[in-house]
Amino acid sequence: MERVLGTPALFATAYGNVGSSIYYALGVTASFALGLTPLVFAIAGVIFAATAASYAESTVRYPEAGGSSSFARHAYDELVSFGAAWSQTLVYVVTIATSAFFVPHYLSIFWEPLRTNPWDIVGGAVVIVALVALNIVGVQEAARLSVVLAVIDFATQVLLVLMGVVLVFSPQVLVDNIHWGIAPTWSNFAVAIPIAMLAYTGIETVSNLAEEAREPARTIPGAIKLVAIAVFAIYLTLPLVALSAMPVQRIDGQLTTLLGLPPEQGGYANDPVLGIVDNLGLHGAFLNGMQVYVGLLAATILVIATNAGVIGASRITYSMSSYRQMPEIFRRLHPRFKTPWITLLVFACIAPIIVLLPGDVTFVGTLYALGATLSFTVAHASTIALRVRRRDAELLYKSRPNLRIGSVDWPLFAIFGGIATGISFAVIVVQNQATRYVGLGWLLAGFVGYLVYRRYVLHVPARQTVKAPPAFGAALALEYRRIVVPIVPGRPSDDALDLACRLAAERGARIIALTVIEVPLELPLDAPMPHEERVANDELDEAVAIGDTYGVRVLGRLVRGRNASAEIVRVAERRGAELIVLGSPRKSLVDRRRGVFGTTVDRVLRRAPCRVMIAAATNGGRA
Amino acid sequence: MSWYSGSIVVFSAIFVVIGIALLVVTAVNGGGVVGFVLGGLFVALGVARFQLERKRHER
Repeated sequence: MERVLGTPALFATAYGNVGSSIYYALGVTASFALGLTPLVFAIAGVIFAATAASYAESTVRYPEAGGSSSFARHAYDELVSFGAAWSQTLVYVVTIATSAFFVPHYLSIFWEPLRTNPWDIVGGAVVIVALVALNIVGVQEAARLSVVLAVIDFATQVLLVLMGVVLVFSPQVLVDNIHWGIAPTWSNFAVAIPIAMLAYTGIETVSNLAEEAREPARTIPGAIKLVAIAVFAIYLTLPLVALSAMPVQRIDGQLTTLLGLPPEQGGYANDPVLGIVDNLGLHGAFLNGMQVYVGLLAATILVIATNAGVIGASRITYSMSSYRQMPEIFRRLHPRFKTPWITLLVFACIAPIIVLLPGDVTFVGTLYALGATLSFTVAHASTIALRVRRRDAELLYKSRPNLRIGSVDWPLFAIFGGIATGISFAVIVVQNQATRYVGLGWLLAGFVGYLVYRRYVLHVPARQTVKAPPAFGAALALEYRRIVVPIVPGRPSDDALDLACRLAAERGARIIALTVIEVPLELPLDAPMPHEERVANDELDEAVAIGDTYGVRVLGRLVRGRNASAEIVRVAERRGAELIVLGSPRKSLVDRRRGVFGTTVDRVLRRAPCRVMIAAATNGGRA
Repeated sequence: MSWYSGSIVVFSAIFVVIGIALLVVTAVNGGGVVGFVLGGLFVALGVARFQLERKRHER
């Protein structure tokens, strides 16, 4: 999946993921929070906003895949990074299981047994196996379709909210729903908050796509803010409508709501959004039409969310293997399809199906919350640590609010978010026995495996960052998989790109076309430079078009810095590039005393972490 | 107007519409503090976010 991603595409992809969570999170949360469900979603939303702020700042600082594990690598060391990555893996495994498990529930409009065990388990497993098979074969994600579906999904959710507000919303019912300390009990209320974070699954998505964004400093914060706003619009209102339509009532002697009851007891915990449709007071053909429409849309969105989880799980474990956090077998590519089939099978197929087998919605919900809260806590802690340890670094984007004490800008959002997610993690561990043993068992097994692998197989300290060599297995033939080509207006760069495209076309590599805007020292790094940005974007568009003519994927990247050579070297390091292809005019005989190439090329040659190829065109001829 | 600014305007409008709907429905149903507070907050949120974006744009 390689494409140029701007704010709209990043937003749509992220909302496609986050927005899908409401289809299962509403019921799970309501089963714990009952009448306080809207309040719980509001509290979880504030924590989500703080988390989104941490992700926005740290992702712009390090626009690379990995999310919290990448932040932890830069802020702390490889051991902490492993902990975050392993938690994320658990989150992806549970996301796959949950999304797939709920697909049959929404398709039960066509066949009722799909709402309950065992058919929902069977249906979920079929969805997982089918998607993993497609990913092993290497089917490309249809980005445009995802964008369209995300927009339709959001519009439908807004429509449901507006219909609900007009047809069933009742402030009095919402007040009557609340029985402080009784329904829900305080312990259930405390557990409901981290569980409601299930609704915010997907914030990592923007982070993971960051390295495919052209201008992360501008597009990432924009996309994250838009996702937060869209999510607030729905997640603060849909629970109000749901609890108005399905109020807390005494059923079998217990105060509960149909929203949180399993289907065996006539509830809608397995398909809460269909429950809203059923209880809006609609009748006849319109009701049937809405049921089919919402059921099909929800199932489609959940399949896409499952697929995003499959891609996420394979990416994070492949990345862990690349950093020698896991055995190399997990980055072995399929000899024919060139996809990481072993990691796909283990972490995107077998593990989620095992999680799915009990068919227990509460278990997967709390397990997700355990992994997510730990991963978020690491992200917050890393944001704080980076602010302290690299206090003098110029930031392209700084989230707010902050408190300046001495020379450190303390990120209040990360401090609040870290405390909140840390407490949420503790609540989940203390309150849920099954989740405690499975979740902590997962973490313990991971850490033991990591330490054994590092100590006895690699003979490398656990805290040291080590990158695996690029050539491995089926990738052996691909000597150059990532080629960085710095682009400036003019013939030498065109020649360099031409040369790189020919190399890439032969070897199936991808090209990162890089344009550096050198910002003068007297200006802040994020100073508006519209002319330079326009020229740079034109150059990158042209580079992508040239790549298309060769059938080579060219990813445009626009970065700002004080010095072009330093930025080129930095991008090559972060991308794990095997080759930098630079264009350079040959100097005349008079100039030769000062060096064969210009200063930028000379500096890159001296500092590059990989091979450097110079396309040195003569004044009028070819390289 | 950029894509981002346009989206902010759309989201702000949605917040305001939801807020007004909450206020109207609450009034029609005979009132209630919760309904009026929620409706008012949604309208305020939408208007405030729109104003923030407008000011950012002016700068």
